[in-house]
Amino acid sequence: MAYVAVKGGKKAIEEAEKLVTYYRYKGGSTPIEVKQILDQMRMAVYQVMGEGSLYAPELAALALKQTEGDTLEASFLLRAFRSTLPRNFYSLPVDTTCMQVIRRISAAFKDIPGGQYLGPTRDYTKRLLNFELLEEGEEHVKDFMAEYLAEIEDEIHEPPPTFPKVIDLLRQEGLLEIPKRDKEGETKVVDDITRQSLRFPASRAMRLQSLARGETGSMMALAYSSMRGYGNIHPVLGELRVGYVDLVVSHPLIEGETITVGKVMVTEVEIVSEIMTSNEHRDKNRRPKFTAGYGLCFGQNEVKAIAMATLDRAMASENPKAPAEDEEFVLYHIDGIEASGFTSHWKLPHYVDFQAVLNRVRSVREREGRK
Amino acid sequence: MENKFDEITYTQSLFRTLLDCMSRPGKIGRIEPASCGLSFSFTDYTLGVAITLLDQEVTFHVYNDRNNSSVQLQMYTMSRQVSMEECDYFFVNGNENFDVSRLKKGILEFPDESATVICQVRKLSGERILRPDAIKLQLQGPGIRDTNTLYIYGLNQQVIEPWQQCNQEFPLGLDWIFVDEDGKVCCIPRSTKFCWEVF
Amino acid sequence: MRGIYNYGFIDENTKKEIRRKLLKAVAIPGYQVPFGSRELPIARGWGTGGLQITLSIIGPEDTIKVIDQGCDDSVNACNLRDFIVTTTGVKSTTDTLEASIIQTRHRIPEEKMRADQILVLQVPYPETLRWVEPSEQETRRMHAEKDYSKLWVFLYEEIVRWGEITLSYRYPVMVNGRYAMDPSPIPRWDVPKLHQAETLFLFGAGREKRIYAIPPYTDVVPLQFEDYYFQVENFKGKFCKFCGSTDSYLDEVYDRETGERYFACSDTSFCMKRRKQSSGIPVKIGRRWYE
Repeated sequence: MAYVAVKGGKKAIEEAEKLVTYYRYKGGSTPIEVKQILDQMRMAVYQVMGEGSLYAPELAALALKQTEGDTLEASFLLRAFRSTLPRNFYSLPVDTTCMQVIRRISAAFKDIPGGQYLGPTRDYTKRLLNFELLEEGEEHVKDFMAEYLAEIEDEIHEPPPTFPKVIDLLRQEGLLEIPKRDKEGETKVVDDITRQSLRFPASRAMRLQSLARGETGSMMALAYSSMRGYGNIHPVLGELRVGYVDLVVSHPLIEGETITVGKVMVTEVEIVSEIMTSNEHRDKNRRPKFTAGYGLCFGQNEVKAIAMATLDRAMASENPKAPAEDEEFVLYHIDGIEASGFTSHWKLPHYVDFQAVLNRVRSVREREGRK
Repeated sequence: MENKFDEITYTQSLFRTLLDCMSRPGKIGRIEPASCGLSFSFTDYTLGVAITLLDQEVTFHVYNDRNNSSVQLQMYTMSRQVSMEECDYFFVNGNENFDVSRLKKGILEFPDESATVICQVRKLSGERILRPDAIKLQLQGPGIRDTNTLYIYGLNQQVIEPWQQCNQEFPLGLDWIFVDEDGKVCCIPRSTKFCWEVF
Repeated sequence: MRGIYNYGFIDENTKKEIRRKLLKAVAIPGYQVPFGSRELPIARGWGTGGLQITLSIIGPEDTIKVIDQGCDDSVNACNLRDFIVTTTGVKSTTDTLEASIIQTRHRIPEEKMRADQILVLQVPYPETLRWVEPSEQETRRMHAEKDYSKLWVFLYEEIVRWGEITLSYRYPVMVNGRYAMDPSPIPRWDVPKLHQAETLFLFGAGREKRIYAIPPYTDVVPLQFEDYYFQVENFKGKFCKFCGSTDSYLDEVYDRETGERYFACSDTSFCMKRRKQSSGIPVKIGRRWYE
């Protein structure tokens, strides 16, 4: 029989790529500018930076354009790009009390030193579709900006208040405790999850790093389970702040000197969890205390930061029972790039494996048939 | 035209030789000398192995470092010199008698977290070396079909028994890379069992 | 692409780490060495582990072959091969005998591989004990203590339930008498090829971040019982529609037009060679693995 070489894999890939482009163009609308995504799709950009683990707003916007708004794919693009970049420094620890705050609230106290500032939030807007946005044009932008800037003209020049940490209030009173697990596990050199794979029990650094780059939805689901009762964590929001922090590195040559390399926007959350009646929080003098959970992520992504803080606290439990308290369960399943990659990989051919299964099933049935 | 040292291709090629030799204990491979302008108390062949394996994520120790070559190595590879007990890569001249038991052998959960010994000797051969004190090793284990014979000249026989002792608790143990003065290399991983004699 | 990216795409530090870990993996056959595992432009779960190994070992002198389910032309194999060739400039081939490095998903080629070749296998689940234990911390302890009792019980229960062990791919093996290992989702057909082979086998799990190896001439024994021996797939009465082969691993295929069921060699380049040979075209076909 004459042989026919089976070819076509490469061509199929090329055609698929063309189709993807076709689907993006066929509506006939003007190609979106990356700047438009950057300016007007802020939340998607922040999510992609956070999950891609690379602070690069313009690249995140580009990735969103390229993937037609698929945030998982866009985060993947960013993460892949990140791994090609040389790593030159570790920054010094960021002091978030120096944050240039744009939003800052606390649920734990009615009022706090520095005050509560709602900042840019949709939390209290009614969730009604705004059909006027269908007709939004450049004149709307001009009019609003002129009016608004005139309104706040006087306030711009007032110096912003300083915002000490709410959690420090508890700390000063001696009410805050580091969970036993983390106290014992402190290491001299901070772990880096991009350089070593996770190992268990995980250090706090590994936990927080994994969470900081975790996928928002999966973290939210797990934290939600914890809040609903699968676990003992009843978080109270000590503080949520959003703003810009400076990134500072040590000078490579001149000892003692530092260089500020830029600033990034972050969301920071500190939750405080309820006094436990078990022995968990009783020190030798038998006085109950609070423990804190910490959340930090790029941009303004509040659901993720709250989820992170909740999971941070949940995983520090001394008697982990619920899924959200099982650090292996949490840390292995919240990376969006790994989870979506593996979920999608089922689309790859598995026919050899399936054939092997068929073979087994038929063999068992054959034997049973003979019995 | 200046012949620039292409480190990317060099380390790739050297590594393939090491991989081949570690997979086939007793097999003798050849490597090229490194020409990166470092002065090191070992040959440019051993230096080649060092620059192929070391970077800021691992540590090393140079035994009896007379020329302070560890400093040069630190600056070039960004790896750090630490104590014998802590090091990931241990560089030693074969004629030295050192305390093998001080090197880390890994732990049962992570047997890979053990030291690798890079031992520079005078000569490696698959055939008998006609020199006094040449050592013959008869090797068996993964990577070896039946048995392999290796002759080493320039290895201090005092380290051999402690070395064997080290590997008794497999998977804990030490892996050795031998480099001779002519650029021949040979590897003996901890999975290899051997018996030895001196001529 | 070569202009802005490093040779082989991944940076030299990443390659170094993988190279160090590969040497450890070879020194401890069957043991899973953890590694950092960088992200690549190929999705997790789609071969990044195997790819990182290939890109860390490959050089200008190499010739690469990439297969998926035994087929060079499978879409993902094309994608990976294209990536490797674009980032390194190496030659590629579909001929098993010509390649110096073969990267594969879920099959070992029918033609026996030599000592101067390396097989890199893509691994989705590096942990064979995952059949019986979800916790990584616990499975690491089990390997440390060579405590494989749970796995044996699992296999025994299979026999009690079905009259045989029904595991079809990822069949657990014992390596060098010490480590239980997952050979990746290769069919049983391919498992015996790992035992006392001439070639080096490297296994990469990118998402799970593990590397392991089987050196040549190493004992690799499938877990089995004295009265229930390990068996490969039975293709009795079946043959390849294209080349007539009766002793290669066969895919079951449904004709897209007639709906008729037929069988074809999974190893497409092996099949092609046999067809060329029967057409009178001179071609070199490799030896079988167990002769």
